[in-house]
Amino acid sequence: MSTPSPDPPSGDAPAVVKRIDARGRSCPMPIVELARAAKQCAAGEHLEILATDPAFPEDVKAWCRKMSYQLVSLDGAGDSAASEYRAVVGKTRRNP
Amino acid sequence: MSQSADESGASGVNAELAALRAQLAALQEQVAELSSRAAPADRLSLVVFSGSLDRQLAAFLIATAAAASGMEVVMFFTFWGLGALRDPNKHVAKTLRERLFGIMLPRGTRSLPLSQMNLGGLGPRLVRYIMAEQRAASLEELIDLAGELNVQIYACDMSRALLGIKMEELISYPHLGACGAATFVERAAGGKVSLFL
Repeated sequence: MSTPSPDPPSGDAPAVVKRIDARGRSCPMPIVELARAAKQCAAGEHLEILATDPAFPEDVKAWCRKMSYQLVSLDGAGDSAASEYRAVVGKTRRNP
Repeated sequence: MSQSADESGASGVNAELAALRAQLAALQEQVAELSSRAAPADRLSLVVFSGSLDRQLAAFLIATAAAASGMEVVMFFTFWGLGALRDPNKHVAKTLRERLFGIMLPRGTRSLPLSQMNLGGLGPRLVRYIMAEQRAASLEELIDLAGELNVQIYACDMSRALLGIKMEELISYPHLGACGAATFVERAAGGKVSLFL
């Protein structure tokens, strides 16, 4: 259920520039890893994060709202059988 | 005659203008004060009172999650909470009473009990074993992370004096300071969230 970015910065969607594998890590490590990586990114870049923490889908949504990041896609959420989640987060010009 | 009337009229206008300017300055000050009150800082303040592994874990879990979510985080360690900040490898000169307190209190994170199901020290070892198995961050790892995420830790002056804990025997943490209750209250009052653990 990958949804395309509603407002790509320039024409085609930016490629994922950074991948974080937080599979197997418990709360709050996937979010801490995401925050750490997001700091290194530039505006317009996308980050992909893989996680198995059951709190991750709601946590990544909350983190994006709190930090005003763009949640480009979230796979595996709402699927009770899913044990692995993949989120793509976009950094905008407003983000620190 | 008409010239003097003009002059008195001009000085009247000037006086009115000055009064208006003073009023404007006073209003601007009020607005600034009100808006600072209406918009609390995006800050989490934690009082860490308990010296048990489970509560310390909860405190540092919330602190690191908040710091990772862009919040400024201040942790105020008081009473039994201070035991977690002791470095077992640091030794300082103490009076007899302070030394006795020192022996009774945990020396750092590795010697913290559980608040429930301690089972004579078996509880914390079991919790650490299960957490390692689940690849959850250990308390020591969370403290390092908190340091990296600029979480500020204050050690309460009054309870340090009471328990005979010196700043020199606390862990080497990058953002560690001593403070009184009023300083914490002032920090907490301007923030959005305050928790007591």
